[in-house]
Amino acid sequence: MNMKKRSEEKKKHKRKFNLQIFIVTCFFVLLFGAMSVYIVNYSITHKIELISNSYNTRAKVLAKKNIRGSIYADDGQVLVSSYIDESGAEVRDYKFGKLFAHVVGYSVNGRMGIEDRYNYYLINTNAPVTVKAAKDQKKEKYPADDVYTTLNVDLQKVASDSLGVYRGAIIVTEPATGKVLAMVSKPDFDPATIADNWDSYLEDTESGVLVNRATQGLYPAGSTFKILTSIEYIKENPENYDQYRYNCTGSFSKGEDKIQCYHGSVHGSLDFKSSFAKSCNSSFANIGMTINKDKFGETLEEMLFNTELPTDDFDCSVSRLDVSDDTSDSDMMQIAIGQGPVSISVMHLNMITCAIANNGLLMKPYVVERIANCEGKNIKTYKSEKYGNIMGEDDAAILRNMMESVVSDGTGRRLKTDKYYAAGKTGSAEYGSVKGESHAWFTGYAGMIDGKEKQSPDICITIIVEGAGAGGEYAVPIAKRLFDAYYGVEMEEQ
Amino acid sequence: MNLETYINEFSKYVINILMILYTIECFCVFLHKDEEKRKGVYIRQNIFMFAFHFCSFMVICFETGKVSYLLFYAIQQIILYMAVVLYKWLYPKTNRLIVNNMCMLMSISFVFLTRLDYSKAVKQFMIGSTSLVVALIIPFFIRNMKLLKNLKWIYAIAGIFLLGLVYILGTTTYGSKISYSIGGLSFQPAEFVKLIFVFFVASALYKSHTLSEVLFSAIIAAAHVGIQVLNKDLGSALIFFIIYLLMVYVATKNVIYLALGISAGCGAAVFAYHFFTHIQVRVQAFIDPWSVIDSTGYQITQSLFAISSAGLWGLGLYQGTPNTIPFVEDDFIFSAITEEMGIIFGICLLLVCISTFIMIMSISSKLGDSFYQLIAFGLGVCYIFQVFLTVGGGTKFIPLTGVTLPMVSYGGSSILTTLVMFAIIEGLYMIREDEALKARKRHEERMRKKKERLRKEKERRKKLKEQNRIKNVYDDNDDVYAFEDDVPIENNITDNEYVYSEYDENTSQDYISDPVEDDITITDDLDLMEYSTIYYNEDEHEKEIRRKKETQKKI
Repeated sequence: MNMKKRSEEKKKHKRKFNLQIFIVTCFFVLLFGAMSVYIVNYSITHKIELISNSYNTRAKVLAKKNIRGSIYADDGQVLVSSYIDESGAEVRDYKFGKLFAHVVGYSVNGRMGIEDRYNYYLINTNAPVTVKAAKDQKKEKYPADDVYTTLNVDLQKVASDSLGVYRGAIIVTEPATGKVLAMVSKPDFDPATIADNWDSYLEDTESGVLVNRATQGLYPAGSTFKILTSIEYIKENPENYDQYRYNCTGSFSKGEDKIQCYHGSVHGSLDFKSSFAKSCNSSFANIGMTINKDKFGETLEEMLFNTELPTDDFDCSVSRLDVSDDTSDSDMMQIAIGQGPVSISVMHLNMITCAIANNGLLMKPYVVERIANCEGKNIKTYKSEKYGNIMGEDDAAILRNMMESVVSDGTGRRLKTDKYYAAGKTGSAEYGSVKGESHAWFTGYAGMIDGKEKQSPDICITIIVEGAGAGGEYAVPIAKRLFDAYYGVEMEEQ
Repeated sequence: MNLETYINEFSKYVINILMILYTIECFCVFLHKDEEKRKGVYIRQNIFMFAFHFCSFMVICFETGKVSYLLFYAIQQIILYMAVVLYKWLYPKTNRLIVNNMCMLMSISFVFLTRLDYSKAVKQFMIGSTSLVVALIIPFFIRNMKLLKNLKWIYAIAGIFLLGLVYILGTTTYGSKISYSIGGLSFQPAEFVKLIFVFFVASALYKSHTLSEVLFSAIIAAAHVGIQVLNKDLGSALIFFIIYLLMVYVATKNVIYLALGISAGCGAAVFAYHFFTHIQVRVQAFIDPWSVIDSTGYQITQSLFAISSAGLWGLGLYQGTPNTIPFVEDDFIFSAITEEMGIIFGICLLLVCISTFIMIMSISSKLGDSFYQLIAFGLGVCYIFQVFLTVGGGTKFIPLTGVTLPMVSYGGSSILTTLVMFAIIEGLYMIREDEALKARKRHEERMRKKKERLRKEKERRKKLKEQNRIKNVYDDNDDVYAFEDDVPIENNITDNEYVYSEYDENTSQDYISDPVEDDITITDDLDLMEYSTIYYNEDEHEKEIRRKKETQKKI
C-alpha cells in the first residue's frame, strides 16, 4: 500500500510540465510552422504571377531601374532589344518588325506573348555587382535578364511568306522535345507601333489582328479530325480494323441526314487506310456510326478535348467537343468527319500530331529555353517535359502508316520527295452558312530517310489557311516549303 | 568604385545572417537549463542585436544621405543598451531571453519605422523609451503585491467600462471604433484591457473552478467580446475569446469546456457572419481578394505583392515599395519587413516571437501558484495570438483582422501594453525563482532535521547495543538482528514526521547526487522546479493529514 502510494507520488514529481500548457504550446508552435510553410510557398510560387498584376507598382519601379531585357532566337539572333534614345527614353526595338508579332508579342498597352509570359525576367536583373557598379557610376540603368527562345528565324520567315496575304496560322514544332520552332498568325501587326495603332486594332473586331490564331483561334477541324475518329476505330477494332471495306458512291445517308464527299468526289471501293488517305467523308460517316459514343467521348478527353492544354508558355483556347451516348446519329455523322460541333485550336491539333509522331508520347510545347543575365550566364533553364502517353505506341504506329499513305497516294501527294519523307492529313473545313467555303488544313510531320530506313520524325507542322479552299491544294504546298526549308532542299520549280 | 552599389548589394546578406544567428541563439537558450550557463548565449545575442541595429542604420544613412539619422541611431542604441543593463542590474533574477527579444524586436521596429516614416519612428521611439522606464518598476510590483489576486470585480468592471467608453465616446477610424483622445493623445483602450482581462480570468478561476465560477467568468468574457464586435474591432474580440477559452482549459484541465467554447465560438461566428456586413466583406476579401482589388481587397493584395516580390534575401532596405500598402506601419509591418529583408528574415522574426512564447509557457508551467501560472499563460497566449492574427492576416493565411504586431508595429498603446506585458512576465519569473528558492530552503531544512534525527536514532541504537552487550544476557547474533527489527523507526515517530521521511526518501537520492547540493544561489530551472512542486504538494499533504488528525480527535 505504502509502496504504491510512494511510486504514484514519484510519478507526479517526475512530471515537470503542465500537460494543458504543453498542449497549447505545441498547438501554437505547429500553427506557426504551418504559417511559415505557407508564407514561403506562397511567396515563391506567386512571385511571377503577382508582379504582372496591373495593381502592382513594383513592375514600374523595376522598369525604371533596369533596361528591359532582350529576346533571342535559337541561333542567337536578337529578336527584340531595348536601347535608350537621345532623349533618354527607353525604346523597344523589334528587329524583325511584324515577323514575330504574335509569338514574341508587345509590352506596351498591356502585354502579350513572350513579352508577357517572361515579363518578370525581362524587368528583373541578375547582373553581376561589378556591372551594376559600373552602370551606377555612369548613372545608367542596369541591364535586365535576357530570354532565349527556340524560335527559328528562317522557318518563321518561310511560314510567314507562305501564308502571304491569307489569314491563318502555322505552328512548327519538334515532336521529340516539344520545342516550338515557328509560330505565325495572320493578319499580323507591328509591335513597335502598337501604341499608335491600338485604337484601330480594337475597333477592327472582324479581323482580330491582336488574336494569336495559332493558340487562341478555334476552328472546325474538318477532315483532320478523321485522325481522332481513326484512333477510336483502331482502339475498338485492334485486330480487324484493316478488314474494313466500304464502297463510296459520293455520299452516305442515314435517315434524313446525308454526308457528301468533298466536291462530290466518288471514291469507289475503299479499305480503312485508303478511306483515310483519300479523306472519304462517306466512309468516315459510316465508321462514325459503328464506334461506341461513350468510349469515343473518353478518348477525346484523353486527347485533351475540353481541358486546358498543358502549355506553360501559351494561353491556348480549350477545344470543345462533347460526345456521349446522348449524341444523336445525325451529329455523330458530322463529328466523324470533323464538322458540326467540333472546334479545335491549331496548337491542339499540332500536339496530337506530335504525339503520333513521337510514339504516343506527348511532350509539352515550349518556346523559351533559358533565361540568362546580361553576360549570358544562365539564371534558369527550361528542359523539355513529358506530358504523358495520350495514345498507345501501336496505335500511333498504325496512324503514322496511314498518314504516310496520305502522302504516298492520297490528298497530300505534293509532299512526295526523295530528300526526306513526309506524312500528314489534309482537311477542308467548311465554315459559315455558304456552301463550299472552307479553311484549308494540313497537319503532319517529316523525317530523314537513311537508306531505306525512315528515321524518327524531326518536325511537325500544323497549318490553317482561312477560307482558302481544299487543304490539299492550299495548305500542303506551304508544308512543302517549310519541310524543304527545314531540310535545306532547294526550292523546286513550282 | 561605387560604394553605394556594393552596400546595396551585400548589406541585406549581412543583416540577414545577423538575424539568423540571433534566432539560432534564441533556441540555444533552451539547451541549457541553467540561467548561469545561458550567459554566453545572451551575450552573443546582444552582440548580434547591436550589430544588426548598427548595420541597418548604416544602410539607412547611406541610402538617404541624411547624417541626422546617425544621431537618432545613437540615442536608440543608448536606450536599448540601458534596457538590457538596467533589467540585469535591477532584477538580477530576470529571464534575459525575454529582455533580449524585447530589445531585438524594438530595434527591428525602429529600423523599419525610420525607413517607412521618420516622424512616426521618432514618435514611436519616444513612447517606447518612456514605456520602457514605466515597465521597469512593474516586476517589483508584481513580485510584492499579493493583493492582485482578489481584485476580480475591479478587473471585470474596469475592462467593460473602458471598452464601453470606446463604444460611446470613441472616434470611428476606417469603420472600427478603436481609440479615443485625451488631451491630444490618442489611446486604444482595447490594448490595455487585454492585460486587465487576463488578470480577471486568472483571479476568477485560480482558486476553484466550479461550473458557476466558469459561468460567471464566461458572462464577463462574452461582454468583452460582444462590445468589441459592436466596436467592429474583430481582432481584439477574437483575442479576448481565445485568451478566455485557453485559460479556462488550463485552469479546469477539462477538455469539455474547450470543446464547448469552440463550438460556441463557431456558432457565434456563423451568426455574426450573417448579421454583420463588415464581417462578410472581410471574408470575401480573404476568399478572393483579386475580385475586389479596387476596394476591400486592396490592402491585402498590396501586402501579397510586397511579400511575393521579396525572395529569400529580400530586395534590400529602400529597394522595395512597401509604402504602397495602406497602414503599412500598423497592420502590415511584417509584409514591409519581408519585402525588403526577405522571407528568411520574416521567418526568423516569427521564430523570435515563438521562442519568446515558449519561454513564457515554460515559466508558466513551472509556477507553483496557480494564479501566477494563469497570468503568465494568459499573457503568453495573448502575445502569440496577436502575432498570429497580424502575420496570418497580412499574408492571407487567415482573414484580415487589423491587429498590430506587438513591439514592432507603430502604435503607442500597443508598445506600452506589450512592454508592460513582458515586464509582468519578468515579475512572474522572479516569483517562480522565489518559490523555487523557498522550496529548496525548506527542503534543506527538512534534510538537516532528518539527518539530525537519523544521527540521534543511530546514537540511541548504539547506546542500546552497548547496553545489551554490557548486560550480555544473550550472546547470540540472531537476537541482535531480531532486536533491530523489533524497533522499526516508523513506530517511534509521529505521523507528521513520517510524511516527511517518506518525501525525503523520494527525493534525497536525486538530491544527494546533485553536486551543488549546498549551493543555494545556483538556480537550476528544472531541479528547482521539482522542489517547488514537491513543496506545494507536500504542503497540501500536510494539511490533509492535519485535518484527518483533527477529525480523529473529535471522534
